[in-house]
Amino acid sequence: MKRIVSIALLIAGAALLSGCPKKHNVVEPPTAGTQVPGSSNTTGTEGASTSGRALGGDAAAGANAMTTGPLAKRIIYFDFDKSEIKPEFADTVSAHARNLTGHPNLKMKLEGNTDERGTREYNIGLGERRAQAVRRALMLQGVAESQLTTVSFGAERPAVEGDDEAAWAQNRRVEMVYIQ
Amino acid sequence: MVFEKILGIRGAFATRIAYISVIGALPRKDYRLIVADADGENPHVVMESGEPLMSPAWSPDGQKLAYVSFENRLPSVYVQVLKTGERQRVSARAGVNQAPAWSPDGKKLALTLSTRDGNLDIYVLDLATQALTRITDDPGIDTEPQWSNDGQSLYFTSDRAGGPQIYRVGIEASDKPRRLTFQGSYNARPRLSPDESQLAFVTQEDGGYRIATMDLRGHGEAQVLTKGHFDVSPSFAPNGAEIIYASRDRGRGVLALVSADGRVQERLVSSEGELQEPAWAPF
Repeated sequence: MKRIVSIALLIAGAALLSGCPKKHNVVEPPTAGTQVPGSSNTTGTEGASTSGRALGGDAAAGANAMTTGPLAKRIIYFDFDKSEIKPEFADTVSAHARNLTGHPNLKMKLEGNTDERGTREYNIGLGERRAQAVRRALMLQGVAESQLTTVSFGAERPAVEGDDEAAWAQNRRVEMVYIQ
Repeated sequence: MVFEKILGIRGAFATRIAYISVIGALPRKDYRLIVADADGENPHVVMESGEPLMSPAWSPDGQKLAYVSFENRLPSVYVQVLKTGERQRVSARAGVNQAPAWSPDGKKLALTLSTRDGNLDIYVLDLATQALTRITDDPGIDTEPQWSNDGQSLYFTSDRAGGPQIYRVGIEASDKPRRLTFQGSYNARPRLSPDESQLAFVTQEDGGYRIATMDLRGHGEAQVLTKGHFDVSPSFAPNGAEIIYASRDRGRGVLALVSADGRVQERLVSSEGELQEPAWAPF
């Protein structure tokens, strides 16, 4: 199963290699037809299907606004062993809350991550805790529960490789992904 | 891919291990679930994905592996028959589906699932009837379940007391979890020796993560067995004499062995990829 490498990831990767500061703008270009295989058959499937495609360009009002300005910031970083949203990310959360409440057809997936330290399954829990912190913050600002889903990757999908705090700080994050 | 032994002590029994191998660089990695002989020879890829694989767990009869796959960009628990390659997705509920652990009779899986508000708790899934029983109900993170040999209790990790510690709870509804670890602020991922005399787990010491054991038949004294900074994922050999675990060597993920009494250390080094999450098969 191929995973389609979006241009956003390549830009982010290049920015990291060139030593850009911690916070970087993730630009998600409208990409029609970026498919993720949906949940297929078999036992044990229940609950809302949450696999989704990246947002198509024509799909929602305000799509242009999503590639520039505060909405282009899609990553929230966390301190070690913490899931509190730091004040420096309050504006980012508010901008996306306004966007989501203003466009009730939009949906967002919150991907929680940790650095590599500790046990993998416990880190899944910590990643989920971070994603939930962002979810609650958005809901407190009026975003409907039905617009938000969470997924935790724990330590399994680091943004940056490395066994030091510089790398770890980049990996303790929640990524805000608009889906359809 | 060949393992190269540092101390040259060959395993005296023909058993198997499963582990995860991760190859490649960000943003595109290749994840493989591999089964090999206990000394690393004869590796076979049993599952391969462009998304993370986690938590391989051997069925008690050694015929199947349960594991977590993010192949749909969401975590699901699968059971795969090794001889045929046949896979069945056994849990794909909304949210977390993680940490599968086989009951001793092979009929149930303990799992970690989440509520909508992201509360992780432990459940037991009957594989035949699909009946789901909730075992823990606590706002903390409850995960990493392991069955007692009599199938009546689960050992697990919980941070209900602030940081992760190891607990044991009977699967009967009325039982309250009993805490087992009291030294240090981070004790997680319990694994039982085959005779249930010892518990292996991950403990934080000197800022790093190490493999420790606790004597379940004594007074709960813990012994730290390893000296690394990233020693995690312990699994007992079926004869109970050795523990395989994941470590890091010069920035790379490797597998390592330590004797259960801590006296003999051995490092297995792979020729490619990052190795993690070893699981030693039963006899």
